Amino acid sequence: MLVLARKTNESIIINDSIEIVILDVKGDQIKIGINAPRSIKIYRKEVYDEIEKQNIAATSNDINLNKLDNLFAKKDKG
Amino acid sequence: MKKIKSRVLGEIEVDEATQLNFNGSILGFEEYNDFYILDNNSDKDSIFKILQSSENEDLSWIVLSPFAAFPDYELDVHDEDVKSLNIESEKDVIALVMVTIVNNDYENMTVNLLGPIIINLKNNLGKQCIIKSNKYTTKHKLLEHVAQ
Repeated sequence: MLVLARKTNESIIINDSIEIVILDVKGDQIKIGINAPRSIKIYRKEVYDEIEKQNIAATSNDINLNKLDNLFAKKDKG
Repeated sequence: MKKIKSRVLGEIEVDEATQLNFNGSILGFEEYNDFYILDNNSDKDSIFKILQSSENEDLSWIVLSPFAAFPDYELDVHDEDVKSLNIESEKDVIALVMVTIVNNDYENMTVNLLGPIIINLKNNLGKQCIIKSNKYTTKHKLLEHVAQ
C-alpha cells in the first residue's frame, strides 16, 4: 500500500482526474472531500462489506418455496 | 438442454441459451460467473424465482422483482454499470433482489434493495449493482411491506 502523509487542505491526485482532499481532522474522525468525474463509482467500503455479508446470509438458509408462496398468497388476500 | 444441480430444485434441465454471465460481480462470490434464473417447479406464476449458479449447486438465491413488493423502488444504478452491461434500452433489462430468511423465520424475511441484480436479457449479461440512492439497505422487510 502506498502511504502518503497529508495535512488539512492538502490533497492527492489519482490518475490525473480524481482529487482527494483532507478537509478536517477531529480526533479519530477525518473528513475527506473527493472531486472525481461522474463515471467514477465511490462508495464507503462498508457498503460492499454489507452486501457481501447479506449475499452469504441469503444463500445459507433453507429454502421452502411452497411455504414462501403460501405466505405471500395469504398476505395478498388480507 | 443441459442438466444442472440446485440445492433448492434438485437436478433440472436448463436451456443453455438462457445462461447468464455475471463476470464475478456477486460480492463474496467473485469466482462464479455462470447463473440461471429458474422457475419454482410447482408454481411457475410465483413472484419468486431462483438465481442458481451452474458451477456450484449450493449457490441458490431466492429472488423477485423489487417492483412486485416495492412499486416506488428507484432503480438508479451507476452509468458505469449500465455501460458494463451494454444496456441500450431499459426494455431489455430486468431487476431482481435477493431474499434472506434467517432461521426459517419466513414472517421476517428481508430483501436487499441496496444491491440489486441487473440483467440485460439481450446479451445475457448480469451484474450485482449498488444503488446510488442512500435510502435503501440490504434488509427491507418483505411481508410487512406487502401487508401495508
